[in-house]
Amino acid sequence: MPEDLDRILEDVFRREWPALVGAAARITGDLARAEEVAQDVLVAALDRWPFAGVPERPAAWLITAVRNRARNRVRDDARARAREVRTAGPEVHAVDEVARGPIDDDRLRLILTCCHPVLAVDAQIALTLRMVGGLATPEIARSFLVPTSTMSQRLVRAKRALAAAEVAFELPSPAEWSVRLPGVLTVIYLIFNEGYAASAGQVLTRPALCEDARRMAHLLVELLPEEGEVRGLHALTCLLSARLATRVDGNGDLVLLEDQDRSRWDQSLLAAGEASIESALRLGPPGPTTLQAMIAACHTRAPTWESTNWPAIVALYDELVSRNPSPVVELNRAVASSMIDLEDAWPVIDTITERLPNYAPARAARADALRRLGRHREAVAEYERAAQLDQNDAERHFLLRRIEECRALLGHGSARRIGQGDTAG
Amino acid sequence: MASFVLLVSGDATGASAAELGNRTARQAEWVSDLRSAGVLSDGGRVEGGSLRVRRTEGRPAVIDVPADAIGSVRSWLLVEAADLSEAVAVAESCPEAAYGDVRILPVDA
Repeated sequence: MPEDLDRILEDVFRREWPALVGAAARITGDLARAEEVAQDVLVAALDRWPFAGVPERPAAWLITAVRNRARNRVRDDARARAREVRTAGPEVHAVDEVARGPIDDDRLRLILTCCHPVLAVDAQIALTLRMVGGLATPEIARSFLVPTSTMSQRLVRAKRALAAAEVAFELPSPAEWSVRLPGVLTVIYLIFNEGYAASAGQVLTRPALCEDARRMAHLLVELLPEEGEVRGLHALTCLLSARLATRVDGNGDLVLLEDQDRSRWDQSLLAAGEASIESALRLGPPGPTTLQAMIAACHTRAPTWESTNWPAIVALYDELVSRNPSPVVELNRAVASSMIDLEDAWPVIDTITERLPNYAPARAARADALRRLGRHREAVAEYERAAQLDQNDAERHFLLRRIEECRALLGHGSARRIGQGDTAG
Repeated sequence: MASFVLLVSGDATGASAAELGNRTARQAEWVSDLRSAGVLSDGGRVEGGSLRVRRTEGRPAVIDVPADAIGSVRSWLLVEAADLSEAVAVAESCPEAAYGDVRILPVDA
């Protein structure tokens, strides 16, 4: 028995999960039954393999077992229905016969079904983590800081909504494709981002969530090797993941990019990210996701904060603004350009942040610009607003530290700790 | 030496794919250790759909077993142990016991 059998089987089960759910869904035609079938087969393996031995090709064993069980399930359900409502007539769908397209894959169908626009984005995220990522409901609930029962309900409703809308388990038409793919990329990126900068809670990062998103981006690259934006998403998740461990210090406090220990960035993830950018660019002009990956690469390529190529970053943001105009992107562009000329960038930061009054990162960016301009009194007020809006304890802690620093520079001392009242400390 | 049948029950429906993989490996290592120690005589998975049969007034009656009784047994083992306390130790070392329980039946074999 190999020493690391647990790691091997963990990987096999997790990697094969979307293929199992996908294969079952192709036969049952719905996600709820497909999920049960896939789960039952993994449990059957758990009970059988210890005695019969781990099959030589575990993935093949699992997929065969899933197909058999799914067919039995459809047959049994059809018989039960026929017994109950004889008038309704037989309703056995020959789902197995659905025509296959050139890039057809059960996993791709599964991802697109989970990210179907009839579902709210919350539901898409939850369903994707369960059906594609293979996470357990309590794990998903913990990641999004909701009770398990709430997450359970969300998943049940999502599966019902798909059934009610009669969403077929199939690939979108070529015309629909250009709308559906960005939706999938958004869902995976949102999952990544929740792991990279948790929107709420005590911890700043949830590395497992980042890894799940990165794994799903990698799966999409395998399924859609010709899509540049998919490569871009993979690059982005790799480059940001490479820095993940250095974003938090030993006390769980936020460490800014400028203070991170660059020697601790994960070199293999950086290399994977660079390779994905390269292949994205070979496939055509960069889309918005690839542009974001290229911006991330400007940071990871710089040996020090001081040597960051800000003009290149600003140019990439210009490109991004022209594709995807949004105040958040414009703000990021302005912050990057403030690294070249703060006085020059300030009026732009000032104007944009007025358009994002309740967006904590915008308040924090504005506060930071004020601090760097030496306008410490205004900076304190702005940091306080940011701290009030921010739901993440680690980020809030960082903002309060900044307030202290500004107060010290104002000569007020640190006896009065404004903003401390509404935090856990 | 005495013989014991161990019935392993437990819930695995809410677990993640990765966790089930991990549990499979740990259970496989456990079974393999029992086998090489000469403790395990036989064992295997219990298929779903267990039934209960009894004769009432001379006629056999088949009763579906509710899932909370024998229906939740997922695997069985026939083990050789010096005495009951040794069999208990074997049962306690079962990784799946953390998710359910292990019933011990002293048997003649």
